[in-house]
Amino acid sequence: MNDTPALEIDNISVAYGAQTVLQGLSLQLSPGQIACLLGPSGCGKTTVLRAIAGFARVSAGRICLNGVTVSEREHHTPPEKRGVGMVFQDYALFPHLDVAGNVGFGLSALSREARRQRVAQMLELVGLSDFANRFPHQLSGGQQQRVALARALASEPQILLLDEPFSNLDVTLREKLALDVKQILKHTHTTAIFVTHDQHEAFLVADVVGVMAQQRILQWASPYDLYHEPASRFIAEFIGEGVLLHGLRLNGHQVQTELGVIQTREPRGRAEQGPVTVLIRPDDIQHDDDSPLQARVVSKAFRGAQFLYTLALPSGQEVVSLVPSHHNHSIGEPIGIRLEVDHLVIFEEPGAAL
Amino acid sequence: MSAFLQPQPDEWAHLAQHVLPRVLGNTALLVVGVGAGTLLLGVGLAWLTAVCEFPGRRFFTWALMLPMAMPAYVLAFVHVALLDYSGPVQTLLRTLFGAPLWFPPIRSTWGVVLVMSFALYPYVYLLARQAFLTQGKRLMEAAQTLGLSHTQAFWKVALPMSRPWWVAGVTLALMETLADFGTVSIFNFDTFTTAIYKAWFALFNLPLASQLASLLVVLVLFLVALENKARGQRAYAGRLGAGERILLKGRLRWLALGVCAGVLLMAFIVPFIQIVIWVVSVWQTDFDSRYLQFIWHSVLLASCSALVVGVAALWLAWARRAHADVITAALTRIATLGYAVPGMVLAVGIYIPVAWLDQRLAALSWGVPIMLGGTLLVMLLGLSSRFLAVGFGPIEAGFKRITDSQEEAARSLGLSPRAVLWRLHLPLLSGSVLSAALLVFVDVMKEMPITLMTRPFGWDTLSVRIFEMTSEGMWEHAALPALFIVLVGLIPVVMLMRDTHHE
Repeated sequence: MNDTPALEIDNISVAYGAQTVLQGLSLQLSPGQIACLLGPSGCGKTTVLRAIAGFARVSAGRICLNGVTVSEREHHTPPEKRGVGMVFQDYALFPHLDVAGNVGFGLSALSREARRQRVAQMLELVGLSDFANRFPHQLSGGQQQRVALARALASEPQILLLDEPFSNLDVTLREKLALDVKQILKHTHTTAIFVTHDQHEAFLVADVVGVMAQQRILQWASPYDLYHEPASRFIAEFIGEGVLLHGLRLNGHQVQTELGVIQTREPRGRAEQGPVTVLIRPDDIQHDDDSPLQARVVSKAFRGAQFLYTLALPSGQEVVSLVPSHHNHSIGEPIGIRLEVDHLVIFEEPGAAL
Repeated sequence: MSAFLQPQPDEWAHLAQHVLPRVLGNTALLVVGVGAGTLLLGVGLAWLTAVCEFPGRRFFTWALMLPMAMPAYVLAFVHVALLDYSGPVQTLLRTLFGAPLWFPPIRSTWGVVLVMSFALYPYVYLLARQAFLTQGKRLMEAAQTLGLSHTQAFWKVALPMSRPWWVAGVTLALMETLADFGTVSIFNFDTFTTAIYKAWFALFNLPLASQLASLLVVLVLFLVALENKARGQRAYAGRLGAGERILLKGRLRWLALGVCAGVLLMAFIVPFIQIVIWVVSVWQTDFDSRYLQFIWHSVLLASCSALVVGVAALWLAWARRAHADVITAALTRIATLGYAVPGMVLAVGIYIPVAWLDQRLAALSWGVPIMLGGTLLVMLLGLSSRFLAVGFGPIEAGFKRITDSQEEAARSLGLSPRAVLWRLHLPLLSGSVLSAALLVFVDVMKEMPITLMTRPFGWDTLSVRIFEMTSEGMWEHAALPALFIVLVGLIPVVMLMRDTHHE
């Protein structure tokens, strides 16, 4: 097993003129891993891709692809010499070439026959073998995206970069295409990074997700860990649904909240008594008609199989709860709830030193 | 401009006393008259065809662009020939009524203004039409829901809203007016360009010519600034509003039809028919090997200029895209300013350094004269710098349709910047380069002053032939080259019509 990371970004900074876009950002990817940079627009996530592809220069730090340094302050390998594939948000297909021409565009080093075979192979991979002679404007958005993917993968890049690859597609198509793309990347054992602002996409495709805000990566973890063990208050609020509830830490294992005492097996954070905030996810609160704990329905959102209820506790604090949709309660009605917490996530109250 | 640095008191005195007052007065009259004329015709016709509905509206929508194919000087000599005292119209009136009637003299300020307005209104028409089409109808409907009648909405909404468009159109028309040499010389109407020509060829006074040229440039730069300002204010609200057209009723619809038909007749159909009639009458005697030579010269000059401009504009647009800095932007701006500078001024401006270079070269080569002046090379230089902007426009627009991500995709697929130019830019730009070259070709065919003043002796083109024949009053002999120029000029108009049809 080769230990060299497919991609190693070491403490890079990128600036456009006087404006710093990235500062001291680091990450590593193993061969075949799919990573996602997730963050609100303007957080610099696309710039990370542009730095890897060579379209943006780093002002500090280092980028290595399979152990070879491609970006440093003093050294910048031009994009065409990096062997990096990129799928653009608008796909950037060449309108004067048909599908086969687009896919074979970067294969000029191959012989005509080898190129033809490679194009056919790629088109089969993305399921567009019958479309080789169509022109981009004759394709649907999803088909265009798959052409862009085939084009980027055709020259077997060291790493594939995808910039908001699903944002131009119909919402109904997105999930299917995201899973298709994941399958193709896994099948070709491609190392890939994509950026998105949609956590649903990130969770669907990525092995590992980096949450970005303000030019930095705040947490680098698997989707599961990100959801259940957010490293900061910002991530807890940014990822998934949920509310932050005031509580009182009794000891290392117990937190007293308005909903009762929450227990954990393993101690978290400090042990002494003090005010904390507890992250309560919608799945932590179960609807139970027999429960003595009552909350009033403030609003509800119908989601087909479930209702997402926003509930007001006696103190006025609000929590959210996912309830199977045959429990149809009207607004203002009190319902019984019960706490069922597997992952206790607590943050120190602001002001209290960590 | 260097003329200002070498003041020549005698010339200035002569200029200030004898030439300037008349030239300035005439220019002012022309600018006001043509400005008003093109505004009235352009905005009025654009309003009728873009917003109203009347019999023949679809036909006039494109037919009203036809006058673009007819250079102003062609329109001028046909109208002078038709409406002069000895022309067919007045002769017919005299035979009908027996006695000599009063008829407005065509060789007058009014005549020039009328002819130039007919020749140049399409600039305003096209831009105003675009304004009305892209945002007019929606806004008109909004105005109507707020209780305004059609007429009120026109004055209160459509006209002010479209101001940046028609200001740009009128300034373009006025730039052409100031640059015009052929039309005013046919009318014997002294303006800057004819004064420069006389100073050069009749008085052999180059300093006087360059001083007049400098003054003209100042006037033109003022228009350039105005046009730039108007261009900045144009905001494209995007798609066409699919509003209902205003259905003209009763007498109004026939009035609209009559106005459109009248303009089209005066500005294109009647002159065109007259030219054809003349050509038929002189065809046998005029069409000889000399004519083939005129055509060959015109085509050669136009093709070479188109080639030079095509390559230069492509390179310029590419440089501007690759280097998005202030200096490159400023350089392209300056390089494309040539279109605003009247050909007469450019001719003077090119002749002076070339003459200087000739002297130096003669000194260097021990008396053996190496003449650059009056060579094809100099002519090509003048024409190319004048029409660089014409070619630059479509090519830059073509570049804008290539997205950054397409370039980056090509780079990440292993192409060097130069390979991107060959494998991505050129294939995608081929259409734009072709239409740029075609526009330049046609403009050079029509061009008169630069060709006239910098051509090698005896090297005549179609437009030079027109100038020579019209200055002798031999209208029917000017018809053959005119017909050829008009037919070539129809090509870009037809292209434009096709684009309009897609709307």
